[in-house]
Amino acid sequence: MMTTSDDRLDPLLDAWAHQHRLDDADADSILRSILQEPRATLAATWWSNLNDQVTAAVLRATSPADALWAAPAEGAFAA
Amino acid sequence: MAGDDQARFTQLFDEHRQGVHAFLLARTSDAEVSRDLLQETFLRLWRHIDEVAEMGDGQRRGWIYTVARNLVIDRYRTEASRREAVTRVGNEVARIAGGQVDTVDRMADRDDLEHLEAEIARLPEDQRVVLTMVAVAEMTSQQVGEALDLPPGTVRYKLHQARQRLADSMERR
Repeated sequence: MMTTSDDRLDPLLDAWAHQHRLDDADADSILRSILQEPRATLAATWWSNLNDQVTAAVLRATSPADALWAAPAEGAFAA
Repeated sequence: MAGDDQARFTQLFDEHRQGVHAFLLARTSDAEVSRDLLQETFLRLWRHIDEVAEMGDGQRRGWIYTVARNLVIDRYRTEASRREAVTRVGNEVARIAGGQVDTVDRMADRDDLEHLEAEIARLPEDQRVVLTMVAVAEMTSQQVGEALDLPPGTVRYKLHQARQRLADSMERR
């Protein structure tokens, strides 16, 4: 049942909604902008490529540098 | 094929743009930010069009609104950002109240509209979201329920609460 407050509120709400509705020009502009974006599809091998990269990074981070394994030069610790 | 993808995407964009925009508007209270996030939401849909197009209606709607919701969370991760947005709401109200649109002047008194805008901004977020999706996007309780993962009865109850608060506020003026 419509009440007096509904009678007053509904036209105001309609006006407010009208102000905030996304208009067709904005929507069209957004749509065209999106459709210009390339769809970055992933290669079928993306998972194995990623695994390879992660493994390589972990190995690099955890391997001691070669210099640490090299024998000290003769007399290196002599006073 | 690219043409098919564009046709499928355009159909989904037309079907959901008003609803997602209303959801974002209610969550951000900022017209500019909501347009940005709308574009970002649908850009992600475009990038996943193959999988999303295969979903059923309810699942697809859920996917889209989950993306939109997460984008809002990312955007307003800090309270400082949120406060900045609230300030912008005031500017937005002033801009609208300053109104270039004649129809609004004819349909409602400018002061009342300004008051309503401020009262809507003060509604609890869950009520504001439901009200905005119904009023701005003209969605049914069923559609809003699917988007927000709520029973339609709960949507109707929140809408009733929101309208009641606004009506009470108008009565007090």
